[in-house]
Amino acid sequence: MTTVGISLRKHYLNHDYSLRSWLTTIDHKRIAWLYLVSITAFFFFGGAAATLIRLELATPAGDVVETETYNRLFSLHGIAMVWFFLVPSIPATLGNFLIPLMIGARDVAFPRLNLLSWYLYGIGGSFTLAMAITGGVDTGWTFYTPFSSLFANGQVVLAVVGVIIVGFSSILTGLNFIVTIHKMRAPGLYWTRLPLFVWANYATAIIMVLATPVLAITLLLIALERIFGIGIFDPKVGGDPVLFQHLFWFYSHPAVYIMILPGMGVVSEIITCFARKHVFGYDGMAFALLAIALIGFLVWGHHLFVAGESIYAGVIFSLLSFMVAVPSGIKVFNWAATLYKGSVSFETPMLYALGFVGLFTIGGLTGITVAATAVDVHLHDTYFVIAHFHYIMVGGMVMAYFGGLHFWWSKMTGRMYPDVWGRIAAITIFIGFNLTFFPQFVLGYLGMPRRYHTYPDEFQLLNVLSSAGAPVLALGYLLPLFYLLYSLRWGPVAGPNPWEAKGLEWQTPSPPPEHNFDHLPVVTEEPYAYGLPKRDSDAARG
Amino acid sequence: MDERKRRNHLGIWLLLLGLLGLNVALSFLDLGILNPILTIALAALQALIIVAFFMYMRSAAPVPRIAAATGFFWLLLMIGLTLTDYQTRFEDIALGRLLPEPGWESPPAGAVPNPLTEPGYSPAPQQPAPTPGPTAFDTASGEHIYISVCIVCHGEGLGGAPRAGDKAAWLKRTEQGVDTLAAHAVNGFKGMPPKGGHPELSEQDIHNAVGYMLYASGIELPKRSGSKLESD
Amino acid sequence: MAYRSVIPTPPGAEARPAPQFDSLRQQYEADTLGMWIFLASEILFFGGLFMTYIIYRAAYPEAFEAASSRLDLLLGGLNTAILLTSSLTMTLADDAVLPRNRKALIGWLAVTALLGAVFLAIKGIEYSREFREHLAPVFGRRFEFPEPHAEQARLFFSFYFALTGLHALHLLIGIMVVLLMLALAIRGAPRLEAKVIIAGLYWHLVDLIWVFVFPLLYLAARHG
Repeated sequence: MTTVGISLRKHYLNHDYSLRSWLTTIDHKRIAWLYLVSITAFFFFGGAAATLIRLELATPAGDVVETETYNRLFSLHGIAMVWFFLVPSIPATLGNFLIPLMIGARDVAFPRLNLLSWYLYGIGGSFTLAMAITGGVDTGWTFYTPFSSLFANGQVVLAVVGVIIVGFSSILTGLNFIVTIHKMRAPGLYWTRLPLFVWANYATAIIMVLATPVLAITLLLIALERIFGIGIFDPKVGGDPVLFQHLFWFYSHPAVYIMILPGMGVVSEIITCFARKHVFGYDGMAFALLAIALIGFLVWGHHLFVAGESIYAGVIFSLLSFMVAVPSGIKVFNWAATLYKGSVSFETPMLYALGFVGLFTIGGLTGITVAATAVDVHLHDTYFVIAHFHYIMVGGMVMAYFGGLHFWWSKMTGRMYPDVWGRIAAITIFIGFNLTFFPQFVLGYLGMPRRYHTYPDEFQLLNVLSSAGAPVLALGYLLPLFYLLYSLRWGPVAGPNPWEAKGLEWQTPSPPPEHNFDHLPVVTEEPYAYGLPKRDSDAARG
Repeated sequence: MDERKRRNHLGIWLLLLGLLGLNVALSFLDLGILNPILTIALAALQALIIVAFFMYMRSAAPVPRIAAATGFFWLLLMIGLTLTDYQTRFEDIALGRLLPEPGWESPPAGAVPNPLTEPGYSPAPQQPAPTPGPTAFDTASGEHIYISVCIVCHGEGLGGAPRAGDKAAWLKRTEQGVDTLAAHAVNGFKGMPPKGGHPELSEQDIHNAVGYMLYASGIELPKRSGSKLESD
Repeated sequence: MAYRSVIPTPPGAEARPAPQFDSLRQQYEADTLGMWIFLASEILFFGGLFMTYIIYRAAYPEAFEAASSRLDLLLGGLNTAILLTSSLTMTLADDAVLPRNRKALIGWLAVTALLGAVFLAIKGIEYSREFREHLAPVFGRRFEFPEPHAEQARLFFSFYFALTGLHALHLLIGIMVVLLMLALAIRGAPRLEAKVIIAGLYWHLVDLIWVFVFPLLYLAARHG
């Protein structure tokens, strides 16, 4: 494919350059880009809050910001990162772009609904920005009552309205994906031939549809209480603040699986490609995705162990929390088995995927640690929990997101980025991440509480280590911003399949035409049919 | 075909109205626990009829059926698992008693300050402030011990532990004598491990912590009895 | 006796599937599945509120019964009958779709929307009475209820207004959707059959929610 060829060929990016065509597009590929730009903005917004947090925590005294401001900073960090970056990240960008391509469809089932999802995201984001500009909230991203409903004097209503609206964006995206995957697969693409990325987004979409409405009603109750004085969580009239926590975490725990499952899908795609091998235990991998989605709905009480939940309920939730680790473990073992005797190469996406496997494992194991009720009594609301979920969210999910971006960048843009810089950034992120968050495990175990901006002197060394890692991590995140943008203009032109990967999305030119496929594909082979011979049992099944 | 369809729909409608009337009528009878069960059951039956006949679920494809069933089933999951909490709160926060028990009084103002919000807080013991009046316990030091160790159970009342600030509960327990109370804390008692699970603390530390909890519950502290519990 | 398959076969080729679909049938199946998934999400939306109510109802049975007895059972029951009837008329509108009986379709859609409006009017009457009797703990208004159940009765009425208010909002949206279908039926539109049937599913859900709201709120009391 020559430079002349690409500039003459019409594809989804160059057929119309006007702003209006972008803002009124119903092309899933363009909507993916709209999301990409928006979530990147929120990523840096939330990251700025994190920078100030780590700056404050470099010294034991509260000398950078006041207590009130610090509370507003970590609340903003949580709200921006969870709802405006992590939840939409892979589904709304890579999922939107790739799912129709991977199943051989021309678009998603409801393209206009897809655009509406993005506009809802924008409206919700505007409310959040308004909240931040007018002072923010100090309730934490968890909005616990009765503080948030009765006593907090920040912009709680703006914040919850923003989250409710972006929640609807999430529900509609999930709805779209479920219908698309059920109804629009190409001929021959049975469920057992679907790429695991599609399975992952399918499981994610189910969680989005079932869990997010409960968040909506819960936050709506806070808004109603603050606006109309309806006192459902007010202890003075017999309300129970723990009930809020039940409702909130019924969504928010499955939400963390919304955040991680798409990442697992990306990792499966990358590892198979760069080990040149069929994924080990495809059935188990697909089953594990669904099992995580299902069991993930049953564990929310582990956030309430020390909140006043009955001990007997705590036992049940603890047991279920141990169980949810099993399918995750299946996936980690299967990734390892996929690598075994594979022909492994270490391009940038693979570095991210391998980083994911290691860091997610650490995060997952520490999750089991806090799932033990007795241990959680000591560790709850300490930095141990913060380190645990950052290992999964950042060490896992964000690395998977970056890995996916790099893996499919050529498909999305028709250009390749310089792989040397890609690897430098990946390693920088890995080092910076561990330096930032590993000390926090120790800090938490030693008893440093979360959400405090001052701490006893003996915690300073570990905090300084953590704050020293933060700029390294930030540098790692900034590098791709530069070289990916650079590649758009000066990167080498990429062919349709520079990685020689399997999957329908690689059968179409890079970038794809507006209607995705010139000839609608028919699928005849299993997924991940990479060259290496499969085991006898797989071969017998054909 | 049209006429039959219309008659069927009318029949369903009459059935629904009949169930509504039955539901209202039943609410006039006193059937004890059956009342709420029956009202919900009848409502669920009406819902099922609407879904099956008016929303064509009887002739729907499998996937929409699964979608609808999943919605209801997930709701049942949420309610069921949440009830495992509410139905097993056997202690003072049991269902039906979400309000504070009568006789519970808030701790006196300033009795439970939070030094953790002060800048530069260090867990090293501070100089004990002079305590008002003749007391037998060093409540300043005891406060520090309480916050480090005892608050885990005595803050929330886990496992039946009397909450700091719960005057009624502590008054009951001082009937056996404050020394006995402190000895329980030193030697262990029911769910409480010896010295709260911290053998490195001295008996005087435990004594002070008990004294602090009494003080925070608004109970006047007795003079020291004179006999030492342990040579310090 | 088989309730027929609802897949409409449009006469002629005046309706074409949207570009992302291969056939009208595929589009109709996708639309139906999409609507059912949306309805499932609505069940969970209201379900959170139902659960909260049920937990408090189990905690404070006497207070909730006393409060429930202050609701107007007659108007509430009438409203329930009205909504059930509107589900009937919506189904009758569906029946008129396939034989392309436009007059019947327009008529039944209009009646459905009208019944919905009547429901809202009656609800308004109930609200105004409750405001007058100081049973509305909203907008900082004074709430009056005889002791000893005053606090929990206030909780009950909070749920009452939250549940019925949210339901009314959904009903309003439903009425607008039905009116939209009415306009499409008058003007004539492609794929009208599919749109009416799928819009009808939303209408039935609004009825379905009220079928649960009514006994939970109004039948909590032991009358007589």
